[in-house]
Amino acid sequence: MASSYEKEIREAGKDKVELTKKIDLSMMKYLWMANPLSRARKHSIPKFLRNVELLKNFSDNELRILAKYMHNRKFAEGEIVFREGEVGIGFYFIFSGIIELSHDDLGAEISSEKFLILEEFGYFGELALLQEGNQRTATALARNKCELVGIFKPDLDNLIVRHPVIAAKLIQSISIALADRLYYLTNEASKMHKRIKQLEANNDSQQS
Amino acid sequence: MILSNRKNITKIQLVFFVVVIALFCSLVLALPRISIPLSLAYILSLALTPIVETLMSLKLTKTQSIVLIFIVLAVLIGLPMFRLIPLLSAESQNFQNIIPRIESYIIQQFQYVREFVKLRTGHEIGDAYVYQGLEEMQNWSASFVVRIPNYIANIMEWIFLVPFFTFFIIRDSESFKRTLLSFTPNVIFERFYYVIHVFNRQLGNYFFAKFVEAVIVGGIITAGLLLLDIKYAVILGFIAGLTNIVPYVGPFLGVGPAIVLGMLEYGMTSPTMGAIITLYAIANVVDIFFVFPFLVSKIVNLHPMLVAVSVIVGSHYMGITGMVISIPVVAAIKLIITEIYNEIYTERSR
Repeated sequence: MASSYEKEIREAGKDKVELTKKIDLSMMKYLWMANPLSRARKHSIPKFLRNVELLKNFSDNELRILAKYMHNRKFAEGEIVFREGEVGIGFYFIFSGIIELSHDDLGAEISSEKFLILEEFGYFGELALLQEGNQRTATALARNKCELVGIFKPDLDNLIVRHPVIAAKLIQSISIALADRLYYLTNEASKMHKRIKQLEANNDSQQS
Repeated sequence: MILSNRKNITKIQLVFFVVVIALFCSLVLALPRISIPLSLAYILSLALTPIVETLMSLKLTKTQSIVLIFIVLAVLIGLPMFRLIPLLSAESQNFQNIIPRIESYIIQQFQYVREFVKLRTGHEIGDAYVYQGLEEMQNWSASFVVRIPNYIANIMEWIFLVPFFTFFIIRDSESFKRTLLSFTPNVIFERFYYVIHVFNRQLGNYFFAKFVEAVIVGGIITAGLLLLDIKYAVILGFIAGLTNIVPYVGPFLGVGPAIVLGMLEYGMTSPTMGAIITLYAIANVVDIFFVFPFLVSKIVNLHPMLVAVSVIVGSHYMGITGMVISIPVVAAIKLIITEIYNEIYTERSR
């Protein structure tokens, strides 16, 4: 009796003996894993991260390692992910569902203003990963049943020690996104500054 | 309707989480036979984790690095133990032989005094107290000897349990943490994760520093005793390093066996005895002025009075183990209180 299935096939090939039909376990396993309805989240998180624009400079293997350091969090409809002013340590990607970001009080007349709605593959809370004692600048609320994939400061600390390259790439990606945003905001601010100057000049000429 | 339903679920999650944690804590506290080796294993795992990380960066797997460290530790601790055990059994034999001799000596002396008093004053002294006292002493020593196997059984249990727990705590701490976090309610998730992270890091730094401190003090004393050519130098150095983990009281516990041994071997007033005491003093001065300020005090920032009180409370409830773990536990409580304080007083009240 052969000790393994592979050996059995080899020996059967040598002796030209007809093999008895058996269930091919590895094929079964492959079909099961490839099943599109499979709930094996272990494999779906790296696949999900592959489709996130922010992480496009990661290799597949790096994403697989990164996924090990992330946490799956489920939120019910209307549940709050974090509140404005809270100390935050988490950076979230939206696996499924819709997240609504809002400011709590923008002046007395508006009690809360929704300013951004994020869908699948979106991300939010990246400042918490970079800033020490970061205070959330907005409130995040789950519009419907949401599944988020989060990476937190302690995970980043561990990642820096164990996989410095991946940690550096993650921080680089976040920095690029933040730099783009900063550039946009600087442009906006200078436009607004010019506009204010113009209005002030108009105002002065009207008064005089 | 949906909103109220959701709120209920959030509450249920929170209650479930608190109940599981409370159940685990009370179970551990209620069974000292588990909690003592478990806390020792936890401390060891904290002290060893940095070494495991270093080895893992040299392309070893986690299990390989743990096994390697265990082998090194087994050699370092096992060899002195092999020398210590025959010595201890010989000593306890001596102890049993000495007791009857002490007893007959006391009775003899008592008889002399009695005769003497009777001759001078004509009164006879009652002998009930003396015999009662002797009997009590005999009972105590007999029960101590009877209990020795019990102590040994306890120690044997620890010798197997502590490395066993330590191995799995180091190897599986990540998955334990992930399991715990997976059912942490969303409301407290980030805060809870942050607190356990800081808690583990502080405790880890503390015990790693203590470990290094113990190695330095134990090394100085072992080297010194070897130079003085004193019997059992390695064992005494090992004991000194181990007891050094206990703050304040430790150095005194460590010097005890050396004084007893020195007294038996060389006599109380001999120059060797003076040399031994000087050596211990030097080792502790080095510890207090050079090791402690740079390693330990920066990590745990507690008032000396609080340290003394927590050591006493720890020793009251859990003996030596309590003395060792009291400082980090108090530091952890301080951390949690600070965190709650910040939550209540600074953020919400803004």
